[in-house]
Amino acid sequence: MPISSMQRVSIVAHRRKEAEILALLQDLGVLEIAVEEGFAFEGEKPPVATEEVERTLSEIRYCLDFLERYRRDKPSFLESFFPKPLEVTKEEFLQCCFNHSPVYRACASLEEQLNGIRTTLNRLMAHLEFLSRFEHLPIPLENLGETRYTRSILLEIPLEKKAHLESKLRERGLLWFCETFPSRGRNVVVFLVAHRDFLPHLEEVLQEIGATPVVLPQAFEGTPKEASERIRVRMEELAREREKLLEKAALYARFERDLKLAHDYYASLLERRRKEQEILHTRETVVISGWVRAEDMEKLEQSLKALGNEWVLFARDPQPGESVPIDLRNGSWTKNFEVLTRLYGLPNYWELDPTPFLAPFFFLFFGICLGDVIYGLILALLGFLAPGFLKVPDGTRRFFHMLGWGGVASILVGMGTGSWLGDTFDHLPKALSAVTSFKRSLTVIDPITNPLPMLIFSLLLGLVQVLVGLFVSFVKEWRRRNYASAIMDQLGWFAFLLAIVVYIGSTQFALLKPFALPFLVGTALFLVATQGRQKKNPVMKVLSGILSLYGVISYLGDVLSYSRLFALGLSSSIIAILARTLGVLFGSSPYIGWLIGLLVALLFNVFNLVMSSLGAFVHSARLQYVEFFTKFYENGGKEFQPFSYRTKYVKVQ
Amino acid sequence: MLLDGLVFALLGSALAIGLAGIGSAVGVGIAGQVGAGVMTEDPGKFGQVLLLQALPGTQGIYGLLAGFWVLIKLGLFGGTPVPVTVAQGMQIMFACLPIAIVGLLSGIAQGKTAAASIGLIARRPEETGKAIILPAMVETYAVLSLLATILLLNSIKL
Repeated sequence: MPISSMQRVSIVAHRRKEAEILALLQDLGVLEIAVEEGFAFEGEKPPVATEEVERTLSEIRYCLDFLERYRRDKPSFLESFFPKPLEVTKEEFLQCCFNHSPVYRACASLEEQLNGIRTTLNRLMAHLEFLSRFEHLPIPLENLGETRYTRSILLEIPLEKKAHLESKLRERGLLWFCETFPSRGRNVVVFLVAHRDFLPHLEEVLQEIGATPVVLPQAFEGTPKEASERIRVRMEELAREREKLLEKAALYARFERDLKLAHDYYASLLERRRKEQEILHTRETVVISGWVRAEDMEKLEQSLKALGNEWVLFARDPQPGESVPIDLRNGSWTKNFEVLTRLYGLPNYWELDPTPFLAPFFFLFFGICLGDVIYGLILALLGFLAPGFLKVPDGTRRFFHMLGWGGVASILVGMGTGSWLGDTFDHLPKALSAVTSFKRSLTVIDPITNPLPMLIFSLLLGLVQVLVGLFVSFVKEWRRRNYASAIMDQLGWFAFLLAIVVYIGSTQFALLKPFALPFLVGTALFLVATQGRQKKNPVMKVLSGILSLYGVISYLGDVLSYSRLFALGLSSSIIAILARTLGVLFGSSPYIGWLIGLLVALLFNVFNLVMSSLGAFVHSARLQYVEFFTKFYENGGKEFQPFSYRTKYVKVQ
Repeated sequence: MLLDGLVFALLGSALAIGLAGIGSAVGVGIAGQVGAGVMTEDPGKFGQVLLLQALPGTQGIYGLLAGFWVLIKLGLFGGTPVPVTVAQGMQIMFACLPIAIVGLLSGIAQGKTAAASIGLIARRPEETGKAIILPAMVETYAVLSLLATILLLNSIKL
């Protein structure tokens, strides 16, 4: 039984013991806390204080985020994908007493200062940009504005408008004076001083020619050049200040370990607080109930005994219709393929786990699709060695191992089909002819010169998988005591499909001749006789029985779909041949031709390995989901998630 | 002067590589646009997005493969070129059409599905596995047409 059997347990204890028991359960990590279905809380739910923990957690997250942004020693590309977990002892984890508040306050204040500097720098940049328009103006800017009798303004107008402006002003009087300086492009800057009495005329003229006096964004001192210089000095100061702050910020990376530990500690605490909402209380007692793997019951009871005897444990088997969490339990080889079942969706508790059925097929299919010894070798090395280097979590490690096994299958298939980096090993130098002949001695059939046998082999594999699917379905229906459906539908079709194969085979093997036709006719008649059993009218019974034979089309479609195995396998070896051919083509040019040829061949092969592996995974998975699972599998379970520590960075030993 | 069959055979090869390549280019392009949009929100999804964007890229490979197969068959890559009659040349050209046409159209369709799948993982990153399977359903037909092209080419005797 590859799905762990579960027990529904309820622990009833004295309220005094609640905290102690919860801490124990979290440490054990065997119980998924869930209120018994049908139980409802009467009155109000107990108020649970999670805000405090949530705030702490979000402050710690902020600090970690801050560290990540301002640290100097960026993690490598690989590490950012597969961060190394922090290994700590349980004591250290549980007694985490790191006070994050000073770090949080310091980080927040640093961030605030840095933001302030950034805003100021942006403003100063804008001022510099503004002043650059007036850099030829030798007049201190504080002189702009009003005196007792005059008013001075700056205008920025196109050069051709300047004469126009002066003549218009002259028409109205002489109580003004102006001087012109170059600006950017075709514009000029006009410094204009006018007597107060002349101001109404000035405004009129400005309106007529469509010019407005320049407004300074703030008060500047000195000529624009001097003001710009002062701003530049200020900006340099700020940049130095920012550099100092950044250095200071980078120093906080030394708290990384403490912060990560604290993060996981509080995340676990929050998990416990949340679970407290799933616990029932009376005045004197507390009821904690949930799911435990049957095999862990013993462990749970023993551990509770250590806490004294103020508790009782009730346990019962799950009842049909209850939604029981799923814990897949497969052998060490099959376990690597559980990820495929998870991708599709877990089975429900009363179903079969399809993993043991799909594992050998996926293994073989992946091998056929990649189908090359050298590619397989690379993938196997990567799949089996990388998890050790990277210290990845269990799920990721199994995924790598699955790829590794796919690589192993690919080596085997590649040997049989003679694909070693395509045909590269057929073109080795004379000195290595032993390798070439070794390679050739292993080759069973070369699908490039003789593709049909490999195609037929792929289809046969498909047929086998469809038949296995039907058979599993038969067993399932039988165990559910649906004997009629099991025999008439599943077994009937199973026999009919087998009969078709035998009939086709009889054209090749004389031995089968005597059975072939009677077997085929017999199974067909059986289907005709049984498939119409739902109909009342005897004519309709026969008609729908005959019509049901049409269902063979859908099985035919399923089997033909497996031709992709052959096509993908061929594709990866032909691209490898292409890589070699192009490599030789470039390699035959003079000077560094050999280097270019080598690079081209390498590039093509790497590309082919990546794309073909992706294709092998996707299409092998698809065959399981669409052609195989549809025969028998029903998903709809949810993963067993025992109450335990919630760790993201830390690995508790 | 008689028209050499080689012209048709090479046209077939060029169609397989060219049209299937266009299909993949458009498909990968469509998926890439959506992917870039998703990554403006969450650059951390680069790995998953890249995986999905690569899926419609296979048609181009299949086309290249078919075209290359033709070139090998014609002996144009090392070895002596095989003389091809006009009839044989046209046979080769027609044999190339399945992967050329289906590669073009399925590449585009798969690109659209991949784009939608990228949208799916933007909201539900835990469903990456399912998101990868949907575009693969489209690819089935490119694989089948490649199969047809290979079998057809293999049945032509030079």
